[in-house]
Amino acid sequence: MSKTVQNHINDIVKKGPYKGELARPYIDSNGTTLLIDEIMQAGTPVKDTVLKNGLRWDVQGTFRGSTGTWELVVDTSTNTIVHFNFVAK
Amino acid sequence: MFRFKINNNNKIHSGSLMYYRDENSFDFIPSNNTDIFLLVGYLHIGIDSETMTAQQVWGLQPYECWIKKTLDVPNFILGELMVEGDIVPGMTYRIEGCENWTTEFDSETGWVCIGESKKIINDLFIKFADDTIAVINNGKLKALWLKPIIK
Repeated sequence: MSKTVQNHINDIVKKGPYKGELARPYIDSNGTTLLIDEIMQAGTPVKDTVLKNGLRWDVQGTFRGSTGTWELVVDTSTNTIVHFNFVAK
Repeated sequence: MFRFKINNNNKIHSGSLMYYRDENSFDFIPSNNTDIFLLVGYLHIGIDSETMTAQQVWGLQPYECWIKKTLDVPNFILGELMVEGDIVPGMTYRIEGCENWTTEFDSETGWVCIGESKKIINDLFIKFADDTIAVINNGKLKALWLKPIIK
């Protein structure tokens, strides 16, 4: 993953039902590789609209009880994940 | 869905806004803990759920799509950018209406404007972190003005 993504791995939820948990635990956990594999298997990537060598996966899913979209963008020129997020509806 | 508010109290977050060309990304150093993320494209506005204030912006924003333009940098006030709405800490949401925003870059001044760079009468310009200005109009985010150190 890019250094920028990694810089925000340790953010903690400070309030509400997920207080004390990592804000985005899917970025760096035992299940991260499996989750990324599942996202890649579940959908066909499209060429990213803003990143020249980017491939983007959008896969419907759930996280913390919310439905939404797993968004994954890989820079194929560096083989690096440059965007990875679950975006709630 | 979300409404932005301004607290005109002269408080801003200190640090350095960086742009890493090798990663096509903005980042803010040092990064404050945030647990709500509002997306403008791939750019994250990090929110602290305890105060519901924006702390910093970071994320992918490829410079290949920046449009060179002479930008008229707005006058701004210093303070906190607050958000309210149906938001759960620990979640990421996309700000509606910014899907087709353009990014303009003034190579003379170093300012980057993501969104609408033209000012209108009711626009509010709030600097909430070093080198980071949000433009709010009627509770909605209209643009981000960023002046990164480009590496």
